[in-house]
Amino acid sequence: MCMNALGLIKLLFKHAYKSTVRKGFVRGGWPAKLLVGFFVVYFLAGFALLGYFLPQIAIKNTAENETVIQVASQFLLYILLSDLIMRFFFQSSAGINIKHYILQPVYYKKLIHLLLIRSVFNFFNALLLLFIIPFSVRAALPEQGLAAGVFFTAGMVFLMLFNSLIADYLRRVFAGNFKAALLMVVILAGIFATEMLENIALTHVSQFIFGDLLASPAALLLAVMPVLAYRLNQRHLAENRYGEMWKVSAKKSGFLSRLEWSGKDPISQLTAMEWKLILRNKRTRSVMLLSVFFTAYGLIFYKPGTEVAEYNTPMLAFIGTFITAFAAMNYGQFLSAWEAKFFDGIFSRNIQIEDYYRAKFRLLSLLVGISFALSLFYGFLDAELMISHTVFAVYNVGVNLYILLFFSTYQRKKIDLDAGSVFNYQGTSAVQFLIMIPLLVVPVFIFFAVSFFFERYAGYAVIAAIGILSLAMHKFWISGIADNFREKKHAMAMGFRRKD
Amino acid sequence: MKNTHHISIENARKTYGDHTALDVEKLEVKPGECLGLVGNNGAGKTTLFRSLLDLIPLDAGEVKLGGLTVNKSEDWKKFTGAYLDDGFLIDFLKPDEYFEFAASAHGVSRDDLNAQLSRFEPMFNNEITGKKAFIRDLSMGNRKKTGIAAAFIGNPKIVILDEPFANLDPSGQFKLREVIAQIIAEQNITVMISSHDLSHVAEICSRIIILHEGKILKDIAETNTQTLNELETFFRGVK
Repeated sequence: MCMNALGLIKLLFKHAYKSTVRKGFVRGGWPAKLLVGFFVVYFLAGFALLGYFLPQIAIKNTAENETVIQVASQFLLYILLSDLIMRFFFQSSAGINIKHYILQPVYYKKLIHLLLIRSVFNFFNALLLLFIIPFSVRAALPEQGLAAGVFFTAGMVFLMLFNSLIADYLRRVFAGNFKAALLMVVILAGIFATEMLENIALTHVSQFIFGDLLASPAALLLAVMPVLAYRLNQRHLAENRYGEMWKVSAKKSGFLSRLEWSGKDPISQLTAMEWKLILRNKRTRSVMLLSVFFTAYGLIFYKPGTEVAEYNTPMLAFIGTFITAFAAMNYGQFLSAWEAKFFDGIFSRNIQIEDYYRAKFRLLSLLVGISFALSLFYGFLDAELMISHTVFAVYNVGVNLYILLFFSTYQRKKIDLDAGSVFNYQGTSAVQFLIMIPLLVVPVFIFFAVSFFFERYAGYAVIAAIGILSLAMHKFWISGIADNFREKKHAMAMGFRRKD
Repeated sequence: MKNTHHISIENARKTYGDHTALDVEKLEVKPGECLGLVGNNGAGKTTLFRSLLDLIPLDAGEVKLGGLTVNKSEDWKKFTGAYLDDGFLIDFLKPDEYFEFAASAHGVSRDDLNAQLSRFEPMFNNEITGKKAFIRDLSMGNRKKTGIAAAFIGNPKIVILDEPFANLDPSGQFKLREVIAQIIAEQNITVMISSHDLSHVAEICSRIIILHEGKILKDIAETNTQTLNELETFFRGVK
């Protein structure tokens, strides 16, 4: 192979483009493609509009002698940190599969450059660029002139590149390190906490660092940051060339291994196996993480200083059901499809179908329990929310989990456990949308109707009663679900064996 | 040890569109018999194996393991062990964890599990048990060894293996042959093995059938020193 450097770069980028288009980004049928397309456009447009209109809103809240850029810089540190953490978990870092090229006459050093340059072209950066450019055109240009606009834009792009590269670096160093991931979550929680407590320390620090910097020529000096991050990656990749190539993971997993023989009965074994599935695979891990973030969903609706009585009842029911069931629904909508790869293996083993579903029920109710425990923090806003969440958690376990288990037998598409979960609609079909109706609409309607004709507390009582009564029929539901499974299993197995 | 577990297939037919994948009028594997199944790609081996384990529904006919019709009862799973492909392995587990999972499904105690696995230790070559790597990070050969050993957990009366010798290292192949022969001799189990390696099946199996385009083309009821020759002649002649 004789090729000049530019030709090589072009070729490798062509490969990277093909691998993106041909797999991963949009897989699945047309509904999934449309859905992905919709979300991509939604986010891109959302960020662009935010960049365009935010300066207008900010101007109204700006003091006489302050510029919009100075106000924005107060929040910059906060934004950068959140961005970094989001990237750490969701940005997909692999750009080019080095293994494909390592035997070609291409210098490894050159491959590193390509890998890093390629990694900068990611979805997060596209979003941010769409925000930064309109924002600086609308904020910096009119107030401080063209030069300031250029400095601000450049400074922000440098910070964006820094975040992008440093997130890749952190992922490379901490890959598979559970404690590091936990630390990140703690930092994120800390940032949220300071926000909630209106502790303005972070904004002061942020203004001190960025206040006058961004609109001045000194912003160009920020270019040092992405360069440093680039060098850091480069050194790491050069030092770990074999590790990067083969990615052999002989990870230890202390407490998980101890789950073994915790109870020798098949149900405990199946549950333990599924916990391992969740924690040892990329896609399931990010599903769970997303579920933790979604516990904060209530913040959009619940307001401090507002009593529960002032909320409308359908909304109360919706949030109660949604928050306490999100993890269970988000994971549970793909039950069995998670196991697509070894589905044949499980069902040629001596495992009772009923036990299989009992184990799933146990796992999902634990997920509802965890979501519920987290949701209790809303009790600080109004103690009645604790009652509301308890009641809907009971309903979720008593009714919605059986519905999830039942519909799981309609899964026909396998799921690749190694892919990330952002914009990943692999495995998604109409079932996932249809299922939302019984899961969410029914409890909302019941609660609304009873509260409307009687009162809110009667609504709570009815919802809880339905949950408990249904739970009392556990055996009946499980055997029905197992019978349904027996009818569908061949179709499921066939779907799971299909390659996409 | 007395074994009464037959494998029996009657009028089994499976078509995909207008392609007939399997068309077996009658096949009876007697208790204690080791049946070798040979055939080119597309001969219907995988279809046959999957229908034996009720992983695909047949269009017509009936499959029985130990007298139980596979799509009517699930109790045959108690005395049947199988390894067909990677899809049988739960690949985010370590081999030990996978063995323990299998053991719990068959109600095997930890001591018994260790005893049952010890038969395979020579084949494992210290690369499987006690290792920290997940199954997905093992080599093809080691993954296969893990799956085969797991199929024997719980001392099944019927064992079904698809291509057990492929991807194994040379020593592994011989050691696997030894351990299967030993288990057949000691426990009189009913075995069905497919292989593209004619010499292995000719060596290990007491009976061999040739599957071709879904049909049983030849049934060599009693293997002997001439069997390998016979098989080679047949496959050389296939167009």
